Amino acid sequence: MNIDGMLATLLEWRVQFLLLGGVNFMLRHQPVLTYDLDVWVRPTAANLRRCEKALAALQAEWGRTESDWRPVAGRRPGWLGGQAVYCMICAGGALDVFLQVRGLGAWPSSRAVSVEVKTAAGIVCRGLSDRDMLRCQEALPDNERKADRIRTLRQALGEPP
Amino acid sequence: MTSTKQAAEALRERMWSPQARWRALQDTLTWAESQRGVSRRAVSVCLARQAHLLAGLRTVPLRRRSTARGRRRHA
Repeated sequence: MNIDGMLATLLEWRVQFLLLGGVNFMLRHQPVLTYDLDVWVRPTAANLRRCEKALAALQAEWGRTESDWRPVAGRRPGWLGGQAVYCMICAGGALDVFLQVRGLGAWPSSRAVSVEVKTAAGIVCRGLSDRDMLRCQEALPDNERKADRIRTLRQALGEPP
Repeated sequence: MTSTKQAAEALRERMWSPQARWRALQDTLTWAESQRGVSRRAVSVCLARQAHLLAGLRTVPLRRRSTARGRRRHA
């Protein structure tokens, strides 16, 4: 399984999410070195329960600590929701599930201005707009910002680099 | 949230076997290469990268070429 597989599974389980991070940037602009898939899921109870099922189907593993690390399929429903981000390992690779994103407001607001992205395999989903991606970068500490992405995004938005 | 994410990423790194991590990285790179319009060989990507590199190189003075006369002088 790869990124297409992970996206397809999320869509199959009707998870409402927005693509962000390196994969979103790569599909919209240019290649960047990234090895994980970042998704921002709508943090409603119903959507989080659907997401839990999708993650189980992806054979995701997660834990609060090393001793707590195990397949999420064995967790009690409702486990997803206690923290802002979950970094997990799936059959397709590394997956980061965000419930809130630094620099951005409520999920529906970003969804309203999101853009459609399509992979070469034909997987279609919604990704953060360039404006929101730039907000995410600018919200990071200086040493974590990716200058190349900021430059590309500002150029795409018609702003000075 | 940044420190929380960093801690979460660090935990994942500890729990991920090197072999599985390497396979996932390879799969992701292969997937990235297969995306239309984002190949490293795309003309637009090459030109953009070239412009970026040249902008950085302009601050480095070109070395003067050594001439035959100069080589004889120092022989």
